[in-house]
Amino acid sequence: MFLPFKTNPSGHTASVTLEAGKSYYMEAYHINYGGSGFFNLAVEVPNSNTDALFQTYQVDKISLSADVQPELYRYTVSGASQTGVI
Amino acid sequence: MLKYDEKAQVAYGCTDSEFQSALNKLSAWKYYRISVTRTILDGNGNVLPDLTGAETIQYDVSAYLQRPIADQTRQIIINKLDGFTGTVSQAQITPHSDLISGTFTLSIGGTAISVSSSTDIRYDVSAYNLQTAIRALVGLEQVEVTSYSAYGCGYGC
Repeated sequence: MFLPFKTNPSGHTASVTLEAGKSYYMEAYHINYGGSGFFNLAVEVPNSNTDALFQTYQVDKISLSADVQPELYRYTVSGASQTGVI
Repeated sequence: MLKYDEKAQVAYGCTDSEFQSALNKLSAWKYYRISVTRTILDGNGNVLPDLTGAETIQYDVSAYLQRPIADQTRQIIINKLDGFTGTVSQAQITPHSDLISGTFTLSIGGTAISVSSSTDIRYDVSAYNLQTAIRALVGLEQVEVTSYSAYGCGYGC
């Protein structure tokens, strides 16, 4: 199961472009100080090849976004002063 | 949580970072990722490099996150200490833009996906509901849908 990888993007590494026929080395360190513990290691290979040998899963992303216009507030101090308390 | 008697002291002509630090002590501002820009003006409205000859000092406060109406309408009371001979005003220049809303449509292989009997899918549809809708199509019973949202990351998401 690779649910934590799929539901927690912060656990993903950056994408790596794979080359056919080339081996890739992966290494993971896991330290557990007590109680039950585990780690998952998974590779996501998006493709649409239906050959059973290459069956992984296809990943499609739907993004919805909106431009954010921050609120702008202005405090204007006119005249001379020493200290104010807001 | 009831907040009362919040105070933040600033010196006349304080820097924008000092003003920002002061506002960050107030609940109406501290949670909303604010930034402050100070502008010093003379009597004719010309921008000055420092406080020499200053007539007006403006602090433009930008709140990146949307503040609740209660906080937006909460005017800060200016308590003048001894020696204060000027005036202080505060006004909202630009309101925060609307957050994302609305609906979208999704079709797979020419078949429109319906969620809750509607092909107009709400922008905040849950991953489970969208997954259930997609899985209703023959051949897509194993589809998994996950969702992820972030505020204010623009096109970087």
